[in-house]
Amino acid sequence: VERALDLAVAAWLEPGELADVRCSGDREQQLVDLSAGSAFPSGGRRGRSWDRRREPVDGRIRQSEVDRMLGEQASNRPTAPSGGPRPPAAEPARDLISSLITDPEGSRDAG
Amino acid sequence: MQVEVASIVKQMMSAGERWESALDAHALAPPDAGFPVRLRALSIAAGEQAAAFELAAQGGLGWRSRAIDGEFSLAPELTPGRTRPGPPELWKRFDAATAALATALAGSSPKGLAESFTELSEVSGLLASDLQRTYRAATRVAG
Repeated sequence: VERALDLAVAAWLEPGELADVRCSGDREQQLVDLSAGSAFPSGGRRGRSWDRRREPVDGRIRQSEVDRMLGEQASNRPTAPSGGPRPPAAEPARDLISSLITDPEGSRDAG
Repeated sequence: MQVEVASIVKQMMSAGERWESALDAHALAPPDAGFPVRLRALSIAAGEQAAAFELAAQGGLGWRSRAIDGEFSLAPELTPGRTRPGPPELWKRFDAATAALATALAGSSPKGLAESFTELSEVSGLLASDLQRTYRAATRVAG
């Protein structure tokens, strides 16, 4: 039923539109179309990094799947080759994914 | 163009892992014959970063600028003023690419990051090829 609702809403929306859908109790779900220029609605908290509470559907991978992948990547992350502390060089060029933001327009507005 | 959030995350994580391994290899290395191999790895890793940031840009994601304090360098053995084998003009281009990466990191554009990683990938690939030729020739002479 949940899947059918997802598909029904996906068919109803124009490409790029975002929608909040309530189904299966209070569980909030969202459609995400990155071609709209932003992964998430501008009405939410702005300028944040990956927001794991959001759940893109539209028959594609859900945010929980993204959570799972991030968790796996974090647990499998290798340590420095010597087993000691990471070398300090190029620190600003590391962990780049943490600086990606989903609402660049909102971030600029807030700044 | 539709881009799945999950595919961006996956590509960013994969590219980041290779990129940081390449940086670690440079940071921990003594000057040795493995230098061209490390440069090749850096070139490949930077190319993957370029592709990941290109995807992020297509997906409409943004970049929170980072503070760059002082002189930005990828690794001691890649820093100007050190003994760096290879054509000086290529190292000059490499230094410019590194500076452009620092500027992009301090900026707000994933597209800018994609472009700076592309340039870094190209020039480190050229350096790797040049040094591999030199090292092979030196090995033949020594042998």
